[in-house]
Amino acid sequence: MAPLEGTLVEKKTQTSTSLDVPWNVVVRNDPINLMSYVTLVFQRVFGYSKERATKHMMEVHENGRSILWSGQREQAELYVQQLHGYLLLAVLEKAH
Amino acid sequence: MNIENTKDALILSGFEEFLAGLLNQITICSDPEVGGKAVERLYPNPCDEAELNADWKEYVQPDLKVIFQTANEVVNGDLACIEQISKGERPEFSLKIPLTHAESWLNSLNQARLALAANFEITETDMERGPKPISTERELAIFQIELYAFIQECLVQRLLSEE
Repeated sequence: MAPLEGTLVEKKTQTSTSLDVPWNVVVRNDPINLMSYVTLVFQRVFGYSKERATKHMMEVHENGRSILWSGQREQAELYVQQLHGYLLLAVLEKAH
Repeated sequence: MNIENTKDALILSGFEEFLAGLLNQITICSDPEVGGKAVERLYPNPCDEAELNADWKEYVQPDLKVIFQTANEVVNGDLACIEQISKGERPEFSLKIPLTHAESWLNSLNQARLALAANFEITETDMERGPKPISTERELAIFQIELYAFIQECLVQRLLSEE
């Protein structure tokens, strides 16, 4: 059907993020933060064991980044906020 | 500088006026009024999405500011109690960090280290090289970062030993 003359036709492009798409909490390397401090923060924020926290810290140190957690966006944002409170370089990324 | 672990505190003692002066700068280093690259580092963006970054600035960063300021207030309170323990030509000082304040100290020391590193563009190579005489402001900043790291490490190890 053709639009009436003078009718404004709006083209809408809707982008939606599926609720099912997990988000990653990623911590990036920072040469200033102490390794022991980073490990302690991972234990505090995520409740990880010392071994698991150390594994992630080493990943950050050696690979420049580590995925600390994946899940719903809201929780991921809360984790990033907490990590920023501890002054770690944390970001949110959509999981692929 | 001597470090003593007591039941409820970490005590730094036997340090001279120069180090006392540097300790008193902990909370000044990260003062947002100083500006520069430090602000960018202390308040990073959470992602690549402009909308979320704008929301973050509006709703999350004020909370972060409160966390950082609260930590600095606790640290300033302890710094105000630095005690002169010996007189003479080279007086020595002492500082008590109560363990109940350890989290605030870790936060403030980290703010200071990151702010100094950002403002003076300190690199990983700078941090890995050996000690150098302090002849420039940048060299002083590296020394400060290392001094604060030493105290931070002592606190982290103490907290880990308590768990």
